[in-house]
Amino acid sequence: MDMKNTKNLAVAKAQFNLLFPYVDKWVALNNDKTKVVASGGTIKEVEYKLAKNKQKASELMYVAPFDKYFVPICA
Amino acid sequence: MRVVKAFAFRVIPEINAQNQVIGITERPYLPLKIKYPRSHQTSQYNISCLVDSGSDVNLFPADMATSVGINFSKGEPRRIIGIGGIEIPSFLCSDIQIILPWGLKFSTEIQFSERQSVPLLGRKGFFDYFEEVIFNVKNSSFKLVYEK
Repeated sequence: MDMKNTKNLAVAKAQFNLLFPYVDKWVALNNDKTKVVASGGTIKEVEYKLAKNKQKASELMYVAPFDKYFVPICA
Repeated sequence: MRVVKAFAFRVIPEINAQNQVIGITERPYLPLKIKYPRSHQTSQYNISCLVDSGSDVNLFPADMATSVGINFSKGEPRRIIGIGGIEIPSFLCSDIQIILPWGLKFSTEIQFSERQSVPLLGRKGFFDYFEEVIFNVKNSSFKLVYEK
């Protein structure tokens, strides 16, 4: 495995550890995207939790399942 | 003036049935906000969207519409066909601004669906705003190129 792939695999493992508990949910990430500061089933729920806890986030993202791929197959 | 903005692909873990990381998938995500001028509301936070050259149109979760005061169900009914030939209902809404993190904004149309989770930026309404959208797989990055 080359250096890039080794590094990316380490990043992937870190992403897995960070986000796996939140699969199929929305999360708010801190500035350096190393911590989930709020999560919920909807964007509104995440925004509500951020406001309630007076937390800041850099980005909201939906955590797609890690055991599935996106392919536009049309039958 | 030609403007080029570059972004790294996001590294996504690939896991097996035992939940072990067995590899990676790289995906081109772009954070953005949407603004609905009619409601004077803008997304509070950047939302990570997938830049999807395989998608004909922009397709966002309905949740993103309601978060900025768009009554998406009043939009034009549309049908989206996608993975596995599965068809989902969507609603086409116009006059929505996309605001990119460096301040670029443009008005576009977005289809919203309660059956969609990942926000998708498609060719009509996103790619067609740019002169070029370049995917550099070896560098794990993509570029948006436009004239200012």
